[in-house]
Amino acid sequence: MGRQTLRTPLGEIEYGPEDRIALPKGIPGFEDVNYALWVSNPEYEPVKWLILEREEGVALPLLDPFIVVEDYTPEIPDDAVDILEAEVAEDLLVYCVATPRPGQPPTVNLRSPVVINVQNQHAVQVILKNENYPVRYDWRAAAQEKTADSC
Amino acid sequence: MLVLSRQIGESVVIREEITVKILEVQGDTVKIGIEAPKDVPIYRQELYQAIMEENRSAGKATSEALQGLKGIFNRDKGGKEESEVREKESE
Repeated sequence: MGRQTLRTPLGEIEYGPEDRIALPKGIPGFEDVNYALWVSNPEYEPVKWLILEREEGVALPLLDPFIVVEDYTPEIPDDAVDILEAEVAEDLLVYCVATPRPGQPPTVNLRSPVVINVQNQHAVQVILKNENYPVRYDWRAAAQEKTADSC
Repeated sequence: MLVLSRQIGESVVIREEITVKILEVQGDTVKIGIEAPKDVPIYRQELYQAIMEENRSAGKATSEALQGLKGIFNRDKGGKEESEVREKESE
């Protein structure tokens, strides 16, 4: 299969089969989208992108959660492990959706990380049981509070 | 929608493997207990709603908001003062 192009909020992107991620369950809010592109754009590093394959290409910014919460410990639900057909934990990558907000600090969704099996390139957005992980986490405000506490 | 009346202590069984039991009723609040196999995801409906909304706003971020994502980590390294200065500049 040759390379194709997709118009996205990050501009036109050329991709091959190796850049495609299958979303067997879609993701909440976009349940009908079953494929996405995994995109790195040097301008936005360390933010990665999951670009949903649909008409206008919705671009979800993804952050490595361990950058913002050092002791992040997501317990991946069993049903997700089954869907991902994951055999070993080392095959799984965990990313969280970051939401940019004009005029407000960006937040990251710690409650429902996107888990990717790098072996078969399948991904699921899971919902964690741990209620201490917020859907909208302002990590910069949290970091400042922490600094203030230690003073 | 199937509607059933239940009393405290009574249950409903779904597909022979999920049991929903009414534990307590206090005013507008009903406490329910759910027994289900481990691989059945269970969560409050408003949580799913919140995640949906979050994905939608993350996915349709304006170019202005996307600009805000650029260099956010460099800015963090630069410390609080620098970020305050930049915020003032952008006002």
